[in-house]
Amino acid sequence: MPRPKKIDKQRKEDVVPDLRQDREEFLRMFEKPTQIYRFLRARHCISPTFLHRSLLYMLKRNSRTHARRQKFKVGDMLEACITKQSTDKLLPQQQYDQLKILVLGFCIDPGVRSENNVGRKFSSLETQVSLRKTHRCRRKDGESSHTEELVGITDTPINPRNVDAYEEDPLYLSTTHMYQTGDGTSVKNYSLVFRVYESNDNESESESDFSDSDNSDNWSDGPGGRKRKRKEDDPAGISLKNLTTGTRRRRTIHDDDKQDDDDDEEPVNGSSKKFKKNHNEKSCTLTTNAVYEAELVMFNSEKQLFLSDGEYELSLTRTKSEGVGRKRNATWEALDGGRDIELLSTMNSAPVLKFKLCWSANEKPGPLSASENGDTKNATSDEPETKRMRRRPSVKTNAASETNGDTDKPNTLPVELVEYRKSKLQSATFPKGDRDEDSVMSEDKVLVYYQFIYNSETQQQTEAREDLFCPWCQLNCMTLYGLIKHLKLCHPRFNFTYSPQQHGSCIEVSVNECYDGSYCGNPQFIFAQPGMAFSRRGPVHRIEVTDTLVYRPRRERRCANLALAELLEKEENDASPTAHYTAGHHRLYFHSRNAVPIRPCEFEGDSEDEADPDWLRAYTKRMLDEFTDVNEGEKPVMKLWNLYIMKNWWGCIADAQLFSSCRTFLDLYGPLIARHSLRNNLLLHFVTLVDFGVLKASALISLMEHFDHVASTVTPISPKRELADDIAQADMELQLLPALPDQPRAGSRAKRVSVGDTKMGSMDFYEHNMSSQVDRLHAIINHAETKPQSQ
Amino acid sequence: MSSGKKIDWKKRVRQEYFRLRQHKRFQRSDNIKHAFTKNRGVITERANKLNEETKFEAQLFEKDNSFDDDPVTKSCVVKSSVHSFRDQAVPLYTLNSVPSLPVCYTWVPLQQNFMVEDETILHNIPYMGDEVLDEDGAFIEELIKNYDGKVHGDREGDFINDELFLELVQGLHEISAEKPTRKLRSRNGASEKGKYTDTTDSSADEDDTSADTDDPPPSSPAAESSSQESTSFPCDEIFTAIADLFPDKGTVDDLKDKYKELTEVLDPHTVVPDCTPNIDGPEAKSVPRERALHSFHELFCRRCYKYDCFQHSHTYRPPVKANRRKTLDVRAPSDACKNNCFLLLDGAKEFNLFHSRSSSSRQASNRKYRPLVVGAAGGTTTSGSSSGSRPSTPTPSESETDTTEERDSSNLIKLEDLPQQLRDVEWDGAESSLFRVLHETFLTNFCAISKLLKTKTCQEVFAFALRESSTLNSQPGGAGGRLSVDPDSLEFSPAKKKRKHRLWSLHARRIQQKKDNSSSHVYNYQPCYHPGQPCDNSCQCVALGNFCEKFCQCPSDCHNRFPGCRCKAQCNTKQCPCYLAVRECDSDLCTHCGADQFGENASKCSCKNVMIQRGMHKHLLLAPSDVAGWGIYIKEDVNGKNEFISEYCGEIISQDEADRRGKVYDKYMCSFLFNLNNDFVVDATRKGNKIRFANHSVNPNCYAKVMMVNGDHRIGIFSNRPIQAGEELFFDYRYSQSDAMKYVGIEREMEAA
Repeated sequence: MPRPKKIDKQRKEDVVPDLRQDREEFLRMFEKPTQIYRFLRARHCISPTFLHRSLLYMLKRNSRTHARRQKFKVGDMLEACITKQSTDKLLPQQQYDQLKILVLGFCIDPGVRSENNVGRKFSSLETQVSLRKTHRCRRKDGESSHTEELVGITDTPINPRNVDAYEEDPLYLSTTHMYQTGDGTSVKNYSLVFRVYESNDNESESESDFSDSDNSDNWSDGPGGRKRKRKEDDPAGISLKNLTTGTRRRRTIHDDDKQDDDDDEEPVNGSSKKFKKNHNEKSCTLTTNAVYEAELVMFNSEKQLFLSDGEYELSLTRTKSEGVGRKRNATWEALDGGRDIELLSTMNSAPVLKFKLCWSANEKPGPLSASENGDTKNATSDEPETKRMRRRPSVKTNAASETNGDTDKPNTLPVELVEYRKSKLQSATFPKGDRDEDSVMSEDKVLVYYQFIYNSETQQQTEAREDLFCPWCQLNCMTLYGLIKHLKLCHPRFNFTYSPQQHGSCIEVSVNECYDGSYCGNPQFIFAQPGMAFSRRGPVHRIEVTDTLVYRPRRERRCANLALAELLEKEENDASPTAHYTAGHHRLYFHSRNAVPIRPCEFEGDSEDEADPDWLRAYTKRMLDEFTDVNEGEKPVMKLWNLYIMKNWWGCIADAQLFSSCRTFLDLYGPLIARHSLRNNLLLHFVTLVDFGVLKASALISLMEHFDHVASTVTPISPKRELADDIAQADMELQLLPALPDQPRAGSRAKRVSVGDTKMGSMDFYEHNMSSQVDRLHAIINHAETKPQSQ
Repeated sequence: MSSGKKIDWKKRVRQEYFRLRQHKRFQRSDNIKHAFTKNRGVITERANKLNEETKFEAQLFEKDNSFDDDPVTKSCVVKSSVHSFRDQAVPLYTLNSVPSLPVCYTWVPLQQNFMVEDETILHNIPYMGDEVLDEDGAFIEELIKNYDGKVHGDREGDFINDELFLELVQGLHEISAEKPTRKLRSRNGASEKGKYTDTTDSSADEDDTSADTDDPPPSSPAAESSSQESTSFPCDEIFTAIADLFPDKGTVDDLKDKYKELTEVLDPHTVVPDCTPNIDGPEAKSVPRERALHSFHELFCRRCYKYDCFQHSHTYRPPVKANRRKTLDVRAPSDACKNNCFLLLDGAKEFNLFHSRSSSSRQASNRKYRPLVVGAAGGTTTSGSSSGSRPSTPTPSESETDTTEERDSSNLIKLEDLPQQLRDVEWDGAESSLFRVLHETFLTNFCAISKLLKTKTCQEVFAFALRESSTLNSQPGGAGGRLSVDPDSLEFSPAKKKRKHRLWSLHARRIQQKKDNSSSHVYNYQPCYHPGQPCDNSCQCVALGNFCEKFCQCPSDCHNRFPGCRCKAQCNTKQCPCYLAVRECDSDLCTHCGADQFGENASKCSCKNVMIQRGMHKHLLLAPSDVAGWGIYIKEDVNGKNEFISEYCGEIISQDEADRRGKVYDKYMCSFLFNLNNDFVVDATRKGNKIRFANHSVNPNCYAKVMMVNGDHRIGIFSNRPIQAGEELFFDYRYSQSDAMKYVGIEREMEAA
């Protein structure tokens, strides 16, 4: 909502009557996808599915080279640790003894406001920064005592729209004495305390200002609850703001200079106000309505420095509660891989104080404007690499462990800005999502125009950006190529058409009408039962489903030059026949018998591999039973033979095969036939085969010999068992046994692999399988009284 | 009194009838209940077994940790109005909409075609929605008319079937028999009125009436008469009453005849005449060879190698006498098998030598096959009555050789020459039956026979053989004829070498010819059987334009036989005669392409023309179609054209049946009918395999081809082009390479019109 609003504002002068309708049009087209991508962006921050830097078109983001790996020695690690330790000790003491604190603004989330006092509006706020010293106590059980030194008080804008406007009022804090470990034994640690006082005097100007910013906040919070956790990374607020304001501010050390220049050029929004620095202490007592407080540890007892340069957001808590106490918000369960999301919601619910910290050498600041420039320059140049924190993958509740994680090699880790945010309840750090812009890139002015085309391509709105950040997910794409690639691949709900222009490049954005918004994840999950998540035992089979890769275009060049030309011609040959779509990769298949989804573990089995379904087995038995003039000796032999043939019907497709089939038949059923003394019937059966000309008479002799051999191990039946039961059981067992691998399918499978090996392999398997089958059947038939005999 | 009796009877009949019907109904529901519980038991048992099996490898749909399941959007809070209760917060899950599955009808899995008989009654009246019934009521009527108005389960008010009729009569008869014991007067009346038609019971009737008139003490004659009457024929009145009540069932005499007929069948003591006792059982009888092998011979299917197969049994009962020369490869033994072999007996060697020599000389000289049994018979007929015992010696040359044999064999061993203990050995029924069975196969190789018999030494077998032949001679008209020369086996004299060459030169032309004249009509193959006749125009194979197969009774060098291919390649081009003739390679004919390699040697088989018979289908997967309803998808890549995908299986029904069924299917707009040949249609509606789900497309990736596979027509689905894994399979329902295959239904009607 706000984005169109902004655009409206821009266009307000030109098209007043169309404004409303136009806005609605625009809204209708772009609101939904934008919200979705905002949401996805937030989700990606929380649980990323892939790393952007590993993408081919984002190679610039991957600043790590593997060059070092080749000459890696184990000793290097130790060396690295030693150098790090030494620099850790040395550097902070030598140089940075002045901390510049720049309070940028006080942000209230709608959620908090509604909870506390909906109608009330903050007029103006003051932030009091003081240094709290915790003194070491002699007695261990006693409470540690605090002393506080006021550092300064500054006016704070509420919900500032543009944080850059308030750079001029820094507070300075000298920290030289804090480093002295020897004499300062009484002080345990130092921490900065931020207190926000609310003053009651209502100015009309600020009120209007507030409402405006209120609006912007409102919409930027949107549906996704966690959006606000980092202002910098907030896809909603920032992206749209930046889209509308034209430039994007980066609070990085490197481009501070440039930023200052930008500040000059840039038209300052109407809401920017100047606040006086106020050192008056009484102001805090005068108008206090509500006091928010937060503490930030600077040095702990080991004199480790916790704070580094950068922008901070500190969530504040109320110290003096008035009226109803703050209700506990609905909490998130930690479903996200065990990460504590409550921290995030803390950021959502509590008001946030934004400020900036900057270390500099111990010089008294001169005149504000001049000194600032100098200071930042200083800080930039002198910035020790050890200060830079590594991005931490997980949130730690213990701040003390924060600095310990700083183990990076100075020369390999790129310049990286780390943001810290701490709440008083739980201090936490968050990785900063974006890396710095490449200095090279930031040198030449990139101008990217986004042309939003809507209303069936009749209207357009243009916005310009000077960086290569994706407007939807705030991803720094580093290169124009990367940006457009990213847009095309990651935001399929839009169509992006790239065309180079004189002063930059133009990207036409329109809504992709063809986008298929249907579910494209793993189809198994649709049918997943919620209660099944915990019934997993051990490793399981997964079905081959590609979750993210759908489209695999042929790639001509291997990233040597990722040329923009590729993007230009892309539009025409998009539907080229060479495009290789993986068909059916996320289709859910069903069992043909009962239309139940096929589980991954069942995926390989083909129900058609078994040629004898249950009903057919039962059928053939019944059909034979129905004969009245077939005697009770002939029936079982016929049944057994039929069942056997049906099980291995590929084993009996030719006369030539019959001998080996009969042999296998004897292996399987010989004992059973012997137990029920059906030898003569078996003989008749074989004679029939001879009579029909499918078996040789000599084969008959050897078969009967084989049978006698098999039968010799079987004791004649002692407890009279029902023959039908025996057959049924043998039938069932045969059913459970795997099909003989000498079937043609096995042959075809073997053909695929190299010939020599598989032949051996399949033969081994065959024999093994065969003998195990025989063993099992023997075991069944002989019950317990006879020992199963292996062939 | 008599009129009162009549009414009484009528009432009684009605009462009895309804009682029986009710009883039947109860019985039926009991049966259903019983079957239900039994099935449930089976199901639970199977489920338990499945659970047991899958206990450790159970895999359920598991959630993955990707963000698809993360409740990131919102938290849902349920606020409680009661103050003390906490609000309950639950993460909000996004439930994806689950697409509904297409309609799925039950079908039965099948991997080979299944022959069913025509249905003479309509099994159910198809329901196609009320609209169809309303606007097209004539359709159902027409449908019923197709079945001559017979609908399954059609029950009219006075419906009475045979079983019920029988029970009714018997029940009434019991009542009428009981009556005299209770009330003497009524018994008298009944017996006076009763007129027994059965001649066997007439004496009892007379006894009864005489006893009645004599008016003896009621105890003993009444018991006697009742016992007699229970087996006697029921009285007339019963039938008259029934005939009155069910006028459509015929007159009194009809009913009586029916009753007689039914009771005869029911008689439990009548032995089924054809059933031979179990040869392994205690009451095994000594029966001739044909009796012993009767069941096996009758039920064995030469083409499926199964007993009572469900593909050919309805149409095909083969005569047993095949050309068996190549299988009888056991020669007479030359060396003694052990110490007391029959060859060591005096004269046995000569006996044996004589037979082997005679047979070999016969084979060498005139290439005529003749089972050695003849020799055995001849050899034993030293009494000179041999010519009499062999009534049909077909050629004069044959009789000539026989006479020379006779002369030679005149000095051969006789039964009387054997030692006494051998002659006195007891042979039970099973052994003697088996001997007769084996004797025909193994001739004079008594060592082998004794080995197979296991219970007798070869000397004893030898002795028994001599005894057998002598008894045969003494009764030449009896079972002896069975052992005599089989004329069929002597019929054809092979000129093998020359023929084969001619065969090969001929067969290409022949195939071309076949293609020309039988392009529109392909007929079902039936093994021909015309003893004594070469395969000429009277042969059904020739008449229908089919090749003779190995299942035919004609000799293997029949000119109508397909000779197989001699390819050394994959047999998937028209170079291969098999492929050209739309046949799969026969594993017994085509040996060069490796079609005869099985099992562990299967990798040696280079032939690609054996896919249907070996069932080398691709793995197919069922999923909702992209086009309509269900579809079938292929799991693996198909690399080229003409690769075998799957066989289209189903019920084989006659064309008439297909017409009847097709009417209903067309109405449903869903047909699984597939023309197999001129005689039969494959219907995959009730039974089938997964390929039945393949949809129709005018631009398909598969095509269907009816191939002759070992004498059966089978439908193969082949690829039209390379197919990627996961693609849906389509083929064109409308036509295919062979013209005979038409999408049954509308087009068939169009063709007819």
